[in-house]
Amino acid sequence: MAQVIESAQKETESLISGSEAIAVACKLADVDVITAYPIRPYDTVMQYVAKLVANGELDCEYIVAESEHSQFEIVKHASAAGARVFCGSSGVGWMYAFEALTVTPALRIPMVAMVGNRALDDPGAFGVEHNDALAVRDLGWMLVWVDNAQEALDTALIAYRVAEDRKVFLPCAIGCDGAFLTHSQILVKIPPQEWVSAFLPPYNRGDLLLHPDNPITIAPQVNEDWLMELRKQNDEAMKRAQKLIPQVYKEFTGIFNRNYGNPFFEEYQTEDADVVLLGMGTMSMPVKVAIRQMRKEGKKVGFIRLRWFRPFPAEELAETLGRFKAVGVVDRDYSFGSPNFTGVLATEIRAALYPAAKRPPVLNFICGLGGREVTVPDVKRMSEMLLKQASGEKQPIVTWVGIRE
Amino acid sequence: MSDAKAEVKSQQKISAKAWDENAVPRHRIQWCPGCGDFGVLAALKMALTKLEVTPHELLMVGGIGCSGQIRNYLNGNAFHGTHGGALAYALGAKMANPDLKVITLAGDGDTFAIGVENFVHVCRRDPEVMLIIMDNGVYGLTKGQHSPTYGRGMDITEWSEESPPPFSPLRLAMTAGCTFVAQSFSGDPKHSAEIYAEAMQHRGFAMVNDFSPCVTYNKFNTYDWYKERVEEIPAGHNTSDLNAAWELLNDFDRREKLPLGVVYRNPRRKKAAKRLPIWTEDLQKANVAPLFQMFR
Ligand SMILES: Cc1ncc(C[n+]2csc(CCOP(=O)(O)OP(=O)(O)O)c2C)c(N)n1
Ligand code: SF4
Ligand SMILES: [Mg+2]
Repeated sequence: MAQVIESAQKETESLISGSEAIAVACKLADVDVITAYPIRPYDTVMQYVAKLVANGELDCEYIVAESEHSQFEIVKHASAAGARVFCGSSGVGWMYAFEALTVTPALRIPMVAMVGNRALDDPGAFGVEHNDALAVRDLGWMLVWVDNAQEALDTALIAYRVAEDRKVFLPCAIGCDGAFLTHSQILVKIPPQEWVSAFLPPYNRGDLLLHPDNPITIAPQVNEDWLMELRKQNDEAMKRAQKLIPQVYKEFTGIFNRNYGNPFFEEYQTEDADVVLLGMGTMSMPVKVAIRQMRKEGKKVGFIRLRWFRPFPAEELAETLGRFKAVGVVDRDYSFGSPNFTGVLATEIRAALYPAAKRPPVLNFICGLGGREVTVPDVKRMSEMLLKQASGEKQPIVTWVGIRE
Repeated sequence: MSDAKAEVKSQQKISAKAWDENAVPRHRIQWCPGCGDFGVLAALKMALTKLEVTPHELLMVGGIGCSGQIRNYLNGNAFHGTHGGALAYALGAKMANPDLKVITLAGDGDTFAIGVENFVHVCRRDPEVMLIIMDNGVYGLTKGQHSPTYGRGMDITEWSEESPPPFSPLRLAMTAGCTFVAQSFSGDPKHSAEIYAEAMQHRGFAMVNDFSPCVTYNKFNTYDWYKERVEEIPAGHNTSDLNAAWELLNDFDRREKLPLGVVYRNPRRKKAAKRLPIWTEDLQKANVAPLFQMFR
């Protein structure tokens, strides 16, 4: 493993929010083109980027476009012409960009985007919900959820490294829970530029570069002649990304001296756990607090926080889940009319478990929609149901937690 | 005062009050103190009262922004859709129910950034809808980023792709075929009210660009800045002459002034509209007695 690079510059510590951490990552990655269209909570990233540009700390083209659609189209083509790009949005803004989002992976554009997760609005809700980012789950985007500002900064750098690998060349969206992450500050270790430069080589588009010396056509009409082959190429790229991710985390640890363990999911107090909760994003805070309290009462509950949703670590996760007597998937999203009327994550987990040797029962909890808090009592209620299930007392497949009847 | 006149007067009083009923107590006004949108609200109430429109006849379609909130602060039917879509909703509603008086209330961002295609094509289609744009040069609700009308009057000699010059809403409207083009200033609600009333009576699409200062985020185009520059359009201006309208805008530009009033008004000849014969006929056939019974 590479050693922490001796550097004249030192790592510094700064009290910053998740959104600010993403802006700092853009600066460290020396992003060339950034586009924005204001929408909460993504607009907070815009503000920090604007500040960095105004202070002369970040030298990039920064365009506040006239809608999310133009916003994503501008960076898409800047990336094709060889620029490292950053973009992002939230909720309905992300949906407004949908046409551009759908065609980005097929063009093999390694865009990194931040989705400040927000409910899909009508009739008026701005709080966190994961359905916005999840909408691209079938389209060739890599999707990763983070839990705090440090992880946001680190993951943004990792995302560039994975996305821009010639074997991958796929876009990556980083899910950041609106308000709970975008607006909350923690002390974040900011690496010196030299470390980042050692970790992240310049973006090289090679033979796919749009340049007068390299005459190519991007997005020609392929119809039924070639589309299937293109889809398959994307599929292979995603599979290669899955192999590459652990390697990149390893290099990250070598240079930055921060170890995330298993890059795909974090395990918390799972060694001796009878049952585990499983979820994504900032809910990990109340879940971990509740687990610590329940442990004092001798209740063996653990937690698994999934980071990478695409590529989905199906085999590894299924094997891990096989160790427990029951699994409770906490969805901060919902999939209307889905198998058993569950959330998106629950369906994915059940699909991952199907071919596994050991298949624990899976309960699904719909919780914290539209920015509602996932509280410690909520977590305890879910855990009690899991423990009952584990001891043979059957529980309903889906429970909406904290809902007014 | 004759009895008849007194009767009209008392009705008007009731009507003026009617615009506040239900609206204010339920929706605490969320605008910053001093926001230009207060002036638009006051002017709109005056215009509706003057035209004796009743709340049930009115549909207010709000854009997404501080400006669009105005629909909550007036009694009447209201619709709140997606950002940039307000004019498309207004067009649909008016086509389905021509008896509604449809007014659209939106920001400069909503109308000229994300919703610009709806604006241009509603100008072409010319439905009987009024649009008031609360033009403050910024995306107010999302904390003051520059909108397509930011930079008005600024002495900037070099622009960039990142910071392009503002455009003229009035010129865009005229180019797109808008048949009623006017401008007002929320610092002068009485005058605005007159313009709104004229716009509401226009037999086609009527746009009023209202200078409505954002006191929190636009520190350049302030009330004082506008007061020094706005000027009423001279009485002799021929509003039905398109060339005269262009010339008027050029003249104001040359003098670094901003026109207030009707710049262009020229109703189009139109085919009799084929409308869905819903509502009235259906309602006449319906037996509503059991419904009323239910609520007794
Ligand atoms: C598709 C989409 N993108 C972005 C937003 C976020 N947003 C809400 S209001 C607004 C701009 C408001 O500006 P303007 O229309 O000028 O109204 P003002 O607040 O200035 O009155 C934006 C971008 C949204 N609601 N939907
Ligand atoms: S931010 Fe600006 S536009 Fe919005 S309410 Fe305040 S003053 Fe008005
Ligand atoms: Mg505005």
